[in-house]
Amino acid sequence: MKKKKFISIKQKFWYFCIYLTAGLGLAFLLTQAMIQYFVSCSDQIMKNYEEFSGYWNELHELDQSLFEYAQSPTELTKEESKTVLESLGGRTERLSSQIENPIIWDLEIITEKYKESCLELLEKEETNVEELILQYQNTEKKKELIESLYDNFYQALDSYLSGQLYVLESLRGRLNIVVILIEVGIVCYFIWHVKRLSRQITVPVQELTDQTKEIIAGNSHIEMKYCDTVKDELGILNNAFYQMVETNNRNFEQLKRQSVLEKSLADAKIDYANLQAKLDRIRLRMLQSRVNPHFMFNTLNIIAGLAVEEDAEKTTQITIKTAKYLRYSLVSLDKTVKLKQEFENIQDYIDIQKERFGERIRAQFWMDEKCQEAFIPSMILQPLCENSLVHGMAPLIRATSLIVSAKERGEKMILCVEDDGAGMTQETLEKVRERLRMAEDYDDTQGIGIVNTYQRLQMFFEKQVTCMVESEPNIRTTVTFLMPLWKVKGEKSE
Amino acid sequence: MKVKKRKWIFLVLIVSVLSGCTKKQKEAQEALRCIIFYCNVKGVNSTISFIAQSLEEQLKDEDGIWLSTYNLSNELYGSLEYKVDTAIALDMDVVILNSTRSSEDEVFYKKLTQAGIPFILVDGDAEDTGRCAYIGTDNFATGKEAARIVKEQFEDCKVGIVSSPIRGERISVSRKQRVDGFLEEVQEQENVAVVSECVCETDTLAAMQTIREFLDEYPEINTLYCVDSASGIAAAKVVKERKIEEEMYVICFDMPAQVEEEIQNGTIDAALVQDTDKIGEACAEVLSKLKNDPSSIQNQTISIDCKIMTKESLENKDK
Repeated sequence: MKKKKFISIKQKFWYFCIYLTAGLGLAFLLTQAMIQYFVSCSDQIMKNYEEFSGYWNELHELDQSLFEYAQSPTELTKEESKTVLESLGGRTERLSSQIENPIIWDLEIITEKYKESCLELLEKEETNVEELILQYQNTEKKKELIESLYDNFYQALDSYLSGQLYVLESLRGRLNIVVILIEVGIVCYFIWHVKRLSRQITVPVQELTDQTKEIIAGNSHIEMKYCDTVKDELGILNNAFYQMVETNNRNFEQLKRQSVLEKSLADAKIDYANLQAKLDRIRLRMLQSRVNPHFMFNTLNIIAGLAVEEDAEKTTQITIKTAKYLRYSLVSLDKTVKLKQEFENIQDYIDIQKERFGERIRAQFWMDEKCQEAFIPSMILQPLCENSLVHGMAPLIRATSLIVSAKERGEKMILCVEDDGAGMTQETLEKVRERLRMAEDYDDTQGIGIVNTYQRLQMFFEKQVTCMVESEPNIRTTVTFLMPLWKVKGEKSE
Repeated sequence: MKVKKRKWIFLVLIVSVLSGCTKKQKEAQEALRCIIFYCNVKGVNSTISFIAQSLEEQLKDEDGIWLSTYNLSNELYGSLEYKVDTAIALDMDVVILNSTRSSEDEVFYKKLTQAGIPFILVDGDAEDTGRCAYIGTDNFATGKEAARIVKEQFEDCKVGIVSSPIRGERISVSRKQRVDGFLEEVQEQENVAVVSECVCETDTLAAMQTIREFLDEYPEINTLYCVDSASGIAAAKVVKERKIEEEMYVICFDMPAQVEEEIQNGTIDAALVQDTDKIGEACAEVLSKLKNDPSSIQNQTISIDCKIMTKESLENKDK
């Protein structure tokens, strides 16, 4: 779009004043020209009537003068007559040049002849009165002929001038309409111009005011148009305001985004702090638990030494397995281990427990080959097996089976601890499941082993673990974890 | 460049205006100046005034012929002598006159001829006056036309011929021609017979008395053939007076306002009227020829058919 020429509001007012003055001046000049035209035309018409009237007066005057000259010819009378005669001729000439009518031209012709006759009388050399009177009578005849046609001459003049007057009147009527139309046009133009000018000034101001009000009221999403064609100060003002609003909006949006980011950062910090606190508590508990194993490990080493000295082989074996188990729990706690290590450890644990339960425990361990090298947090299986032994087998007299298995399912691994012990009532099962659900949101390290284990796995596998607990009283209890199969230690995002 | 252009335009405008004026003056010098006089007696339009009107209408857009129409309201100036003197005094090229063919008038026609001014006669012919042309109705033929109209009115038409004198003459040439034409046509019609002729006065009351006496003398008359409008008006008044509109057929010549009124009343049955429009057209044609060649028309007679005006034709005209 072509950029319009910048015209300031002051200039616009000046132009308006100039146009107004020019328009009024034009209307005034037009009216004046019309008035002058009609006045001159009317004057001409009146002049024609005066010429005609003067013609007849002079005709009589001349006749009188000629009569006097014929009676007693003097130079004075002669000159006077000649003057009147010239005037008479002049009048008819003027009339016939003004009035296009054959009868008026007839008047000129007949006057010319009369003039010739008069001049003949006036230029006559003889001073014989009788001759002069005879000549005068000749002129008088012509004058009478002219007079006899007066009505026709007057009628011709009158009808012509009346026609002209009528034309003039009708023209005046038409021109009046034209002038009125022009004046109305000029007035309309100025009304339009004033309206346009006021709109050019007030509308942008009004818009700016409305938009400012909106902004004051808190609505920052106002619709403004950028004026490409800056024409005046208001355009500049509008554009400046537009840019200001745009900048404000941009800043506002930026601040909003920043605020959201800050909020999420704060949330993340809180989460992190919670996590850290949870971790600290776990570490603390572990440290607490680490004190006893050390003591126990040292004590067991002393007992194992004593048992060897006393040849108590069974005691020696149990003590060594207990020490091995304790060493594992002491060394690998809070570490990542391979699943096969965990399986070896749990076998040691079961062997120890067999000394308590005797042949009532039938333990089976198996895992897919691919799962052997999978990494998991240490001491995951022990709490689960302990649960089976303590809650599932201890209350029963009959022998019970414990199956610990690990299966590979593509990218996942299924870790399962199953027993056919006492099982759980439906109520207990629901409570355990509820605790598991709650464990996703709350720290539940003080709770039961299964929940504790689930929380640890969730932390380790970044909440990608699913836990299922199924139980039927006196038939079977199965705890299954579905987790990612990580064969590389560093797969963990940490 | 623009200023130069404007100057040129301005100059061209001035030259055109001046040439327009010169042209007008030239036209004035070359135009055929023609004069026609008419005189309306007692406010009644004469035939020549209608011809003058028609001629003015015809020459309205004709720049080459200038017609001066003079209304001689004062009867003192209605004489041929005055008209001729005026035409000569005004240096006219052509004069249009209505002739009465009075022997006294011949000297004035001669005066015109001597002044070299050709004259056209209308509404009345004067053959041996040296006229340039006569444009008007053939009175003899019109008389015959009247006889043909009359024979259609009754099985046995008994006609009384009525006329009034003009300027002292017992019967003018034109009126005589109307009677002659009528009589010639009547000879061939078996059902039409002319009972008698009567000359009445111009004054209506006197003329009425004459007609009463004429009808009393010849009671068998059922048709009055009036060879002029004055006798026609008087005959109509007598017919109305005696309430014999149905029994008497009145036919006359010319149609001044009174005749028109009597036709509307049904007391005059038909009027044979000069077709002034056509006469005006013919006059314009003759003037045009004279303008081109003044010697092209000499002693020419242009006959124009008359119009038959009846109550029906007037009603149609009004419509």
